[in-house]
Amino acid sequence: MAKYEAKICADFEHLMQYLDNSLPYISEKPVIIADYRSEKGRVCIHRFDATESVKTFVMAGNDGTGEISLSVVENETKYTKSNILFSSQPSRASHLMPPSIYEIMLAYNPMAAENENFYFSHKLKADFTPEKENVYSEDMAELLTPWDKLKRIFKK
Amino acid sequence: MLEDITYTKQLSADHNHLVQYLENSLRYAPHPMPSLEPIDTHCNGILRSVRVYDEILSPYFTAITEDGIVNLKWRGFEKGYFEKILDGYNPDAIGNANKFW
Repeated sequence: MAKYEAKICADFEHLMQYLDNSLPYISEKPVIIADYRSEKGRVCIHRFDATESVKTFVMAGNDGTGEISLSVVENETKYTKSNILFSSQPSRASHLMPPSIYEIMLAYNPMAAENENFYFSHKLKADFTPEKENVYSEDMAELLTPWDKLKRIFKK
Repeated sequence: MLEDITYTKQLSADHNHLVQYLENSLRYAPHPMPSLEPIDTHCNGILRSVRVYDEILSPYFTAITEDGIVNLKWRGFEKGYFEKILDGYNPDAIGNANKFW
């Protein structure tokens, strides 16, 4: 069991949207199990499961721009079902390894516009090179349903 | 389809005392639920404690306390189960008596 804690200054809704857009890259079933608001602030709990582990992500802070406390409890890194499909192909599997929640949080940009407010807008800028294009073939994209957004991006 | 139930109650209590009561009452209930790592946050001067108990998402139970207000949300448990636990809270209970059972 690993635990990660951080504080970030951000707009709660903006960060929520980023997570909602980005968590499907590491889980097939990201679910908000609690969204509690009070006069003093807001607490939101995301749950998402990879193949064998359930992770909990808690955001607590003000509703507007302000300090947000982030806590993640997760088991050791597990492969998602999508990646197990390709475990016999190391080069592809490693390239398709889902990001961890840590990686997703490190990539968060509080200034991202609505259409860029998701993890892979960062990854595309950082990682995408022409020679990698063939890794994401149409056949693979069909199998990797959590990666639908990625597929659409590469079609552009 | 299982229904989500939420329950919020103001309890004039010491935060840590209330959290201890919830932990004792839920973890050692007749049907104790596994609890994930406890999460306590201190943000903007407010202490919040989050406890999540689950059996792979459903049923699940969350407890969030914030300055004496407790907010519960759960799915898949009988009606009245958790309300009874909160109603049984005694702010003066100490030590081993600080639990519902």
